[in-house]
Amino acid sequence: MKARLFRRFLRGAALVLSCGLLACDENPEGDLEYGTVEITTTAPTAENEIRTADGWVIKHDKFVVNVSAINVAGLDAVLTASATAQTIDQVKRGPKLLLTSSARLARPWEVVSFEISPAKEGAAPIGVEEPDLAMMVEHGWSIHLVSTAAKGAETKSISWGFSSSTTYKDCEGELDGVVVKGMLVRPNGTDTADIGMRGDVFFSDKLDGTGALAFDAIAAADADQNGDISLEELSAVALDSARAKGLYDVAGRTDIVDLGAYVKALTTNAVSSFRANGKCTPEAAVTAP
Amino acid sequence: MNHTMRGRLLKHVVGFLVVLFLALVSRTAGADDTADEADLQFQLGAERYEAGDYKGALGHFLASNRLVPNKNVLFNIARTYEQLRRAPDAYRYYLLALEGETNPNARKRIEESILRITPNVAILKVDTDPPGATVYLDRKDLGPRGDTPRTLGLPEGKHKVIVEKPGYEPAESELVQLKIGAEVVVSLKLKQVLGTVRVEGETGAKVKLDDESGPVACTIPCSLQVAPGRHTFFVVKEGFQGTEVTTEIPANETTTVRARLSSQTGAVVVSSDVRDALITIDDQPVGFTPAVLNVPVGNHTIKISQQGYRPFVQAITVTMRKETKVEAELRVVEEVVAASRVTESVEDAPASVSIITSQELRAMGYPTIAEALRGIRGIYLSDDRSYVTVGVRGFSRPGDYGNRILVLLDGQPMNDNYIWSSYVGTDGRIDIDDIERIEVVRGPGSVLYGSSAFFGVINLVTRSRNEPTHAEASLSTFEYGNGRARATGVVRFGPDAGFWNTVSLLQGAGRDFYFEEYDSNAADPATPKQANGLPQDGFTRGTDRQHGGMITGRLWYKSFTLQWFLNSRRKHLPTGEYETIFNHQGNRFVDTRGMLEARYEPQLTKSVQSLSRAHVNMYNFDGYSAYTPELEGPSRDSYRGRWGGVEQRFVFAPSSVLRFTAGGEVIHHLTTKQVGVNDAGAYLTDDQGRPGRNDPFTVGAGYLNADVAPTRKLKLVAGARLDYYSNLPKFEFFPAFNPRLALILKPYEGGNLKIMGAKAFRSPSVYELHYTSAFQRPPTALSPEQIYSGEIELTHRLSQTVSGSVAAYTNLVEQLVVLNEIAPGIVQYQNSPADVLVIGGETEVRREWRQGWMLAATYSYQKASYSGGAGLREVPNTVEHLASFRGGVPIIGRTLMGMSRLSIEGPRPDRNDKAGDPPQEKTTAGVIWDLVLSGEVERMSIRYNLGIYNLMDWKYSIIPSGEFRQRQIIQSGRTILASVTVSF
Repeated sequence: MKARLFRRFLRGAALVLSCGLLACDENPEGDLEYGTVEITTTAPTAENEIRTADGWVIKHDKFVVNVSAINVAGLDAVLTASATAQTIDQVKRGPKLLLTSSARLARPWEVVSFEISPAKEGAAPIGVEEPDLAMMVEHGWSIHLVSTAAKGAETKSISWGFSSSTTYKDCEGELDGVVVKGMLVRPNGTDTADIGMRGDVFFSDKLDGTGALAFDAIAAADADQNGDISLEELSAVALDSARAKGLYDVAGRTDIVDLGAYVKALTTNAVSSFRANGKCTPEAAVTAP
Repeated sequence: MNHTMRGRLLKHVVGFLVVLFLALVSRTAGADDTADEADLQFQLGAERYEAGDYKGALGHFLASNRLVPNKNVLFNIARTYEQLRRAPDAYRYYLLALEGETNPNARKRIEESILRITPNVAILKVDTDPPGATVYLDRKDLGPRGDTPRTLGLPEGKHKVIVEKPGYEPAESELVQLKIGAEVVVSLKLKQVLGTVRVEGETGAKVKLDDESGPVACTIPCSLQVAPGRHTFFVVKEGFQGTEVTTEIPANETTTVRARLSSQTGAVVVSSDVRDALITIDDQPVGFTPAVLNVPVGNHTIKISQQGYRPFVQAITVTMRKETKVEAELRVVEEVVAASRVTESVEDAPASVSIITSQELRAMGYPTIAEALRGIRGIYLSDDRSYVTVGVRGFSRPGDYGNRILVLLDGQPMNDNYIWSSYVGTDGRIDIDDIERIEVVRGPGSVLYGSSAFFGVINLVTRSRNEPTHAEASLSTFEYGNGRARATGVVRFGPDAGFWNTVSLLQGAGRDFYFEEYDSNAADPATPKQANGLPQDGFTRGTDRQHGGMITGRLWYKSFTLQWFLNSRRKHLPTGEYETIFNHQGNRFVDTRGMLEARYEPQLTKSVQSLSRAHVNMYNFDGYSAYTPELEGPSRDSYRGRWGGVEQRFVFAPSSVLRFTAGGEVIHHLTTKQVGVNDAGAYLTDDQGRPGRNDPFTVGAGYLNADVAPTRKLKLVAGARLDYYSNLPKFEFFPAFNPRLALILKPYEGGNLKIMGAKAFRSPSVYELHYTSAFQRPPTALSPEQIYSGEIELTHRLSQTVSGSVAAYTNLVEQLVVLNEIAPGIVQYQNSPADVLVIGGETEVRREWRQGWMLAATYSYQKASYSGGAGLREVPNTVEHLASFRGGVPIIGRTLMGMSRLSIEGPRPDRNDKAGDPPQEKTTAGVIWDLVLSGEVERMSIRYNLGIYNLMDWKYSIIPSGEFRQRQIIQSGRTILASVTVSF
């Protein structure tokens, strides 16, 4: 009798023991697999000389861009990686790492977005000298361009700062021959997507950035003939005469009436690519009236 | 027919007629005529002998001897045989003649004849053990040859000797070769024919065989070998009426004789000043005080014992029909193990100690360790609804999970190896019914236990080895809908061996809460939503539930002990801590702690005791924290800790004045695996960015302690321990070296003064050293926390039962590990530049448990403040004033008794302790009154508790850590406690 009771007792104890070790044990890892997400940025046209259709050779000394709110998420709204503001000088050669995040779940992360927005305190510098970063923050610039243009013996210099804010979203691009939305993290793999930027977009004669490059009109805007072309001088140049020559199409926009406004509008298209042949959809911030 | 033939025929006829005549005459003549006839035969024989007719002479001599045996005739028979050259017969008759002869001259003559004839016979000497056996040669039907010892003169030849004796088994020799002139001795051992008697009855009774006044044959229980036949056994014992048993004992069989003794008894009236003390007589449990016992007449030893008291032992003599009175006065002897790792009285312990006794644990029915601790001087609790933590002497940093307190289970550390958390709620033990005593040791204890014994040590002492074999089943409910079941089995294999095991299960519904921090404006479209999509209204329901199981027990044999423990609890979280989705049913923590310890504590010599210990441990943590997809979805944190260690210690006590303790231990934490995963991926990675991380490490330590007590009134205790942690960047001697010095004086009768100083440390935990996430950076450098403590405590015994204590102390904490915000939303563990200084005093008056009565009152003042920190305000969650009153009273004997506890605590400053924080507020004071009725129905072996905790439903709060949006968490209101335990 006692032996039977004892055996029952042991069986009960074993039940609780198994609960303690198994039923109450939640293994969060399960069969999850991981990979790495990386986003870089390059601007080949900023690294080398730019040649315009009207014979100018332009060389950037600085092409500083403030990139912020980089987010990689899924269609289920789960955010898998993000990066805060970073200010990059795209003149520096090669890709600059904007975001890297390891141990991300191996799955498609379809939603990639970022902003080119005015720099603020705390932005992380990438290849940017401290005075330039301070200037970006001080003026609230999102893009700062310092360049020299030459045509024959004539030279001009520009130093422009833009405060425009553009969100780039729905980034997609070709990966292994297939167009992929956002990022695709494979088990133990690394998906690196490069955001390409254009250093020559400011000289395009089409608002979408696909036009021929031209500098004559900009050079001509040097009203004080001091060799430096400011944005104010550009804003003083009405587009009527240039448009009469078939240049600087405003695509029906009535708010762009001068060359300064035109160049500012071109900053929306500063991002040229996502991966090799992909793109992101720009969405300019609505400026309050 | 010739003349000669006719003459012979005539002779025969005459002879026949003479014989016929003699025969007829002899029948008529009677006995008187026999001697005459024998004499006649002798005369005739003598004449024939003289005439040389030896054959004729022999016939007459033999006839004479047959009629009346006569030694003289025997001699003449022998002589005649000798003349006939029948030496063997002559030898035999010479011996027969010698046996009965007393005349020296005659003996000499016979002996000379024997000597003369001996060369002509073969001598056979037959001996037996015992003597007196009848001797036969070759065959029994040839007739006996006399009794042993026997010497026979025989002709040459081979013979076999056969002997027989009543009561013995017959024996015979091998064939022996006899030669003329030689002597052969045959000795035979006779085996007695016996019966076996097993005598049963009253142990210790004396048995006498057949003779009541004879010697004691044996003491019951015993066996005897006796000759077959009828025997009488007399059985007597002091204090009993003697008896006798007569029985027939057959040969070669075992017969059981049962002797029943009826005892002679007298009455023993036992009373003690402590009710329900166990009474044993001659080490046999016989009842509980007070009692009137019938005890057998005689001398006995009575022992009256109660847990927590020094046993009362007395020799008594019980006489028939007389009353013997025993009045025992038990003296409280509170013992503690945790203060020195040896059992010693609280008075002699080099620390400030409080004991929660088994009486109090049973009377109040405390459901958890934490509840048992409330009301102990210097102790206060914080329950953030995830874990309950213990604060000691003004320090209980929010979110430290009690990692500056060490909790022991019979000496084995039970803190985890992740945060060094101590577990004192249902997370630590589903129930505490196996706990017989809780030892609370205030002050640093690193000298004995290393890290984490920072502010104090709590030792849980489980069931005594003395419990008899039995089983228990228990059902209970406590707090908010917690239901609990327990089954315990205790098996005693012998005086030095036993086993017990408990299995417990817990299911709890928890309570509903309203947190104003989560009560948002429903009209605001941006208001946070609950999991059900509705705007948060501050209420959370069904999110405080818990369930779990526990298995624990112990096995022991002499100096060897094996103890095991496994407790697992899943607790759901109602508070929305870590900014999880509020009122989400999935938020939960699961804590599982397991341990197996083997211990061998032999007494090597009179002065040297050894302790060898090996232990393996596990701790699992699984956390689920609900977040929206935008915050990367629900977080699943887990931790798997596996560690084991060995310890060797020697205690050398060459005299009562000196005691040295030396030892060392090694603990290897082979797994400290952290995993943190959400829907985005793993947010907790190793240094290479791989998911999860494992940072094993090893701890090594050595310690030495000396106790010197030169007089009864003075004791000096000095010791130190050195610890090495392999997971610290470098070994620093000073933090790792932790000494203790104590002076214990008895300045006057009834007074006990302790002066103590010690240092302790807490090594940074795995979590503090290695946890990383998007919001938490690993530390750049982290040093162990240090505490320096000084204390003086005076205890004054007012009477046998009443004592009072006063204590004053100061603690200085350095290198406090705190979580600082190093960037917006990014935190990191750092050593605080600010020290914490605690100055306090305590007083306690206590009347010990006596006959169901108990009373205790405590007051503690403890002021904790920052020192050296710029602009820091008050230390969060400190309590400046603590007080408690506890009392027990018997209402109906042991069947119904009441106990009440009133614990009072002052306000606690909230966590806004930095200069830039919002204004620092304080909680309201807490006044918690508990009332419990308890008792036992002995006839049914039932024990019960029925009570109300926080009877006044007092609303009071504690301070949670920064991970909580709430700045205060309300504590339990009025709740019901009920339990019933059945023993069988």
